Amino acid sequence: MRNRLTRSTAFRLAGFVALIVTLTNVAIFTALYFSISEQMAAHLRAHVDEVRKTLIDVEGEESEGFQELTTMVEGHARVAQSDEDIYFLIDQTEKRLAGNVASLQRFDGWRTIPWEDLKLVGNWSSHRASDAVIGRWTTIRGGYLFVGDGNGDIRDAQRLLLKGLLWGIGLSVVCAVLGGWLLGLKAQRRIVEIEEALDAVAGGSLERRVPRDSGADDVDHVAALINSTLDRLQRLFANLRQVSVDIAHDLRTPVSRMRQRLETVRAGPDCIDAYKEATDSSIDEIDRIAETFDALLRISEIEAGARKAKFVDVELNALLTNITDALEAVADERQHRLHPAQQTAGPVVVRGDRRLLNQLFLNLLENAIVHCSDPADIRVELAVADGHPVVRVRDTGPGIPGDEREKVFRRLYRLEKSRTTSGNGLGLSLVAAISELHGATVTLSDNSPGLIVEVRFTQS
Amino acid sequence: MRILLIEDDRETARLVQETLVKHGHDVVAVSDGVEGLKMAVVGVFDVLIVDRMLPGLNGLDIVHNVRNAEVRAGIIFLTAVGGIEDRIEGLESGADDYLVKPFALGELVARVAALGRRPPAPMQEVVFKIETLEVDLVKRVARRKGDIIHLQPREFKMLEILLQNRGRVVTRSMLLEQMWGLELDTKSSIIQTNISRLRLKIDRPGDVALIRTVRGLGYMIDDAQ
Repeated sequence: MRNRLTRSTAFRLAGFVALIVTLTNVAIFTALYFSISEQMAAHLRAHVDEVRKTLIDVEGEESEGFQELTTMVEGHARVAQSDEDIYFLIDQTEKRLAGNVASLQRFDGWRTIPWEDLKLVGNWSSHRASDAVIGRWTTIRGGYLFVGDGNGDIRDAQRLLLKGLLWGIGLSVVCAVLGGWLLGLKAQRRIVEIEEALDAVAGGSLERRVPRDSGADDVDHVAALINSTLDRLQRLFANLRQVSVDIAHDLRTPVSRMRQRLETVRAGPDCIDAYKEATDSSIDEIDRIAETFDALLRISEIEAGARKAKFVDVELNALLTNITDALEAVADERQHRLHPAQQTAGPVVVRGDRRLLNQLFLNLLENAIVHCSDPADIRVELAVADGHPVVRVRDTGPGIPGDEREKVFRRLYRLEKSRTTSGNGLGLSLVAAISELHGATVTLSDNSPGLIVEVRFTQS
Repeated sequence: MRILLIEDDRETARLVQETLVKHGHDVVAVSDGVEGLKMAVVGVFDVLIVDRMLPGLNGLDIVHNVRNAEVRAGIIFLTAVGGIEDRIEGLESGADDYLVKPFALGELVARVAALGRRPPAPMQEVVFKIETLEVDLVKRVARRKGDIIHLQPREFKMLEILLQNRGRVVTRSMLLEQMWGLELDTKSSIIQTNISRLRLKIDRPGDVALIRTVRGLGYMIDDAQ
């Protein structure tokens, strides 16, 4: 595998952030650069204007004023090297009178003149803070006067800014890369953990989970999702395993019984009645096996939860009335009293699979009918509690002891005393599976005497 | 009836064919999906029996194509054990009925008979007379030897279903579907109990027993001894 760090999302993000920070820095410093430069140039021009004004005042209105100005400019020019100022005075015939340059072209307005374009006069040091002179010509009574000032201060400020910019960019890039590196390392560590966990699961350790982080960040959220997926996967696997065990346990017995019976008949005398009896009982046995097998597969299929896409609105009122109507005669035959379903004022609708919901309530009612040995009252109630549809099936039979109430939902589990009654021990497993698929919870409680089965549709 | 059986398991095909022939049907059996589809579209059959899993072309596609070709034959779909999705898909693709393996041959015979009879439904009889039983479906009155029999609505409905299938077996699951719309795989005694009650009222001691039980399969009303 190539360097995974540079390919990690966090690291790439850090690189991107570094780029953005750099561009932002450049933009800010460019703006600063230009506004400060402009501000300082304005200051410089104001200074030059002041000097010009002073010199023009020196010339004044008198005839010897021009001579005085020439002397003054000469004096200024002599000491101007340190200030990097340029003075130049010419008369009306453009003859040089005074100043620290040999000649200078006349022009209008402000101009920035590089030092190398100036024909300097006098002793100038080769080292200068400024690289150009900003100045302008002024027309005066006796001729023309040029005053200019070196842009050294501006250059200093600009250099400072550039230095700042470079440091800023450098620092932010270092921070972004370092931060990205650390973040990337952390994220990568988490991802490696997730990969290891998934590898382990793929290798068969279904109980393995991704370690959680207290940080509750996005990676942790993904970890939580992966864990809940694995929980479900593990449940389904356990399911599958249990079905195999159940089948082995509960289906081999009747198969071997059937085989023995057929063997016995085969070995016995050729009596057609005995053969008929053996085939009849074999057909019954096969039907029971097929039924159990079917029920087991159906439970697994429902538990896998693949049917939700076909859910429709199902009105429970009519559904329950229909089922009590279908079972009334059966209850009657066993001297039970199955009361008509107790209804709500308005229709109660849940999202679900009509067939499975029919099966659910049919199983609950048949359980009540079959497992109450003495005549009992069986009631079905439909209600809405806290906004959730609730269906209760009450009987006044023997009930289920508290410590057995969890176990009866297990596949093929049967209460010992009910071994004599018909059934394959899958009725309540099917009820549990159908309920779970519909987001409903099933609870068993005591009707003293008897049993209350409550189905509460919490996700409808 | 002319029946086309598309089933790849030879033993099943042989048994189904034998049984249906014994009940007076003409049966053509094919084991390959593509061949089956050709036969279904070209031949004139009253009922098609189609297995879900077939070599060549699967049962769903066959049913789909047959319906697209506007073949009006009744179709019974045979599905593997436990495939709830299969059944729904089967009916959605255009089949009229389905049976889940393993199925009782008698159930298949009864369903084939029921399917073959579907088209002439509009001309329904209104008054039935069997032996000394008289039933008027419009007035909702049933008499035995002239005496009015008091029947609950669901008992009357059950009698009506049996009468409309007079002389033919109605299976328990067919009754469960038609009575309460319950399509369940249940060995529940619902039908058995309700039939017993109906029988008590219809066939009183001394009367000729009209409601007959067909072992392991269902019920039938008939005066034939």
